[in-house]
Amino acid sequence: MAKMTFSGEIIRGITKDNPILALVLGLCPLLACSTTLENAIGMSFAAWFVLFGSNILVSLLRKQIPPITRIPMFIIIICTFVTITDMVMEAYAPPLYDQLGIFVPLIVVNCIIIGRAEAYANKNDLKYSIADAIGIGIGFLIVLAILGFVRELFGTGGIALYGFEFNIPIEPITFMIVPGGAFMTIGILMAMTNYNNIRKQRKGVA
Amino acid sequence: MKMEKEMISVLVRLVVLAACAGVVLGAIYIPTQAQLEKYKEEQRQLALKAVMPPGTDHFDPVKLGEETLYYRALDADNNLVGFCFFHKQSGSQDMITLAGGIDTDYKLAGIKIVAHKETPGLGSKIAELEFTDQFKGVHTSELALSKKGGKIDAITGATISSQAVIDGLHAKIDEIKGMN
Repeated sequence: MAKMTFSGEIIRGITKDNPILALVLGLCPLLACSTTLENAIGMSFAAWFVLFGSNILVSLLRKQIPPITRIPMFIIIICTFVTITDMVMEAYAPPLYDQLGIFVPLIVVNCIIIGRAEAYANKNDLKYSIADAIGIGIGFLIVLAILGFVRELFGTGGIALYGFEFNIPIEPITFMIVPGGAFMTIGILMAMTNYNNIRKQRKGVA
Repeated sequence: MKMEKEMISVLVRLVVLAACAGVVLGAIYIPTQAQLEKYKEEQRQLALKAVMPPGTDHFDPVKLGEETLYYRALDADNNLVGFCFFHKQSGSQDMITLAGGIDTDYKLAGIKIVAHKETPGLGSKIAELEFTDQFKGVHTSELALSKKGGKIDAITGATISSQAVIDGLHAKIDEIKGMN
């Protein structure tokens, strides 16, 4: 295995271990919160904050966490960060909170976060755990933002983002707003990534 | 013995972690809750502004103990424009929260359904402008469903919800009348 570097770990989170496209984790918030670009970005940052906090704490405490109770302890740590996010968002960004609703508290059971705590932060140094959180977070943000962009653009015929707005002259396709549209878009994205990977592998062999 | 010791150390760690989490959350709860109250108050002010005619500048709450009964609506020169209020009335499913405004002659200036859980597609229409706009300018004495000789057309298939809104308004306006 190649030597770990800080930037290498970040890039790995975006590409090889991309939480959605490669690990296929966290599809539930993905479907629910990617109806508009603004929601998608809000959701990614909420999840990112929780992931960041939990990766740091789990990594710092990993020698103190007895293996038999590691899952309850991860959950306590994750719950704390989720509740912080929930309270802060409700108080300071109520419109976003109304839109995301139940999916903010549901970050607790988001498999990306507990997955990274279990598979990575529990075994690695603080430095690399931070890099992992940054990388996975960016990976999640990119996919969610693409999905939100595509769904909002074709589903409503325009993009509205923090006061900025533009429209395209098409008839809105309601299908893109319902979960089916998200599945289709994510399927196409995955196919494109896989196609790219296979082509790269073939080139490497030849 | 060894087993017991291990169990205790695991327990202690869990309890300490949970206690730390509790302290952190408590510390964050206080400022966010204060901010949330402020936001809710702003929303309340907006709802009151929406049911009163333009020219209303600010609201003076009339309180009984801690509870706000209604608001005296004042213009920029502190002249009384009318009264406005929030009221909870039981609808066909759950409580309907409504905001209403009346002028000094007890004529309705406007109403707004703040929250409700009425049947979607039927009772839920009480929140639509088509229903709430009917109340503008209606005097208390005319405030009843049209089949009972009043001026309000009920929503088809949702008489209970429509009646509940009217009952709620009557209850609150009578209360205000009794106090002025």
